[in-house]
Amino acid sequence: MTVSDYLDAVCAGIKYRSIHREVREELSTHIYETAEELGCSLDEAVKYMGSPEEIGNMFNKYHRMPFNSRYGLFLWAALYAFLICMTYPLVLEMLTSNNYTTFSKLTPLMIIFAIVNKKLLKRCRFKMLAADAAEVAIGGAAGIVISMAAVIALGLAGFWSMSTRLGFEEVSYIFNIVGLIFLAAIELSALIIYFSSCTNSSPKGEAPYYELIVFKPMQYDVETAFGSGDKKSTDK
Amino acid sequence: MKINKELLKGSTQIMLLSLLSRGDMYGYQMIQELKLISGNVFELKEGTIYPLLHALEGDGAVASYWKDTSEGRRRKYYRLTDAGRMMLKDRRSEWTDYVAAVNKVIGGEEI
Repeated sequence: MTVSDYLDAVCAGIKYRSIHREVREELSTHIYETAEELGCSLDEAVKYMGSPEEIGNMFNKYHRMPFNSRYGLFLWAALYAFLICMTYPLVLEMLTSNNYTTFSKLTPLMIIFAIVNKKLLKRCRFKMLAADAAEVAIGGAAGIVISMAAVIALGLAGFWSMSTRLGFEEVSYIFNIVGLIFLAAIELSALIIYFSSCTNSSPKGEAPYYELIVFKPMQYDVETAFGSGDKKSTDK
Repeated sequence: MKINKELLKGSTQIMLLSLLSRGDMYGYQMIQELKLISGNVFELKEGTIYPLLHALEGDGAVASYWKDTSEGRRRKYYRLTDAGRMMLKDRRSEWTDYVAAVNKVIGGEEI
């Protein structure tokens, strides 16, 4: 395995892409120094590093963004832009007509957002890097553009239905229903991304922990001496 | 030899923290020190030290900075923070208590 293959394999496990460059530099310096110290080739030096998948997984556990990728940010920005567009008329209506029943429409949505947001932010552990800014800008802008397009499309649909035979009541009803479906779809895909980003760790329950240090099997091994049949554990 | 994961996790953290308590170090250097001090008892998966250090950094126990070397490369140095010093103190006393207790149990008679 060459150095760049190795680094690629490590980074393949880290979904938080902004940290890739730093990790590559840190690990490659280590490999170069090992090679210099031992006087061996770089490919030889890589062997001392340990499994790239394990290391990638470990890094992945400690470096996180909400959703871990710009696609997630895209969805998130779309969600928020859409939310604001959707709730603005409701809030306006509420303020102008003194009709506070609109709250009943807003509260469930707000509660869902609050819960999801809390979950996401608790999960992420990211440092603000220059690379993050690009990810945030691209993802955020794309999301906002998309959801603006959705809002405009909905508005046009509203005008269309108004110009036909539907009254204002029906139109606003349709507007709300379509909006809710759209929100639910975004929310769902956000959750799917959120959960799929956890999948490359070990089985459910216990968080993966990989050892830096493996105790060398000693001459007198307790398990072989007492005849425990569990051979797997002695291999490690 | 199978060792309790929590115990091992704690002990690795103590070792990394106490290495750093002697001065700022970079990953490769820490591995060499570990090998030297432990008298080669440990078999190290060397790359694994970096995620562990990043985790400690995430917890605020260590801080890092980059420094240029004469070969034109950059090394990432790790430094123990005050929080890290506190953590080391706590972990160290836990560990000493644990080892003392185990020794009391197993060290009583000759095998």
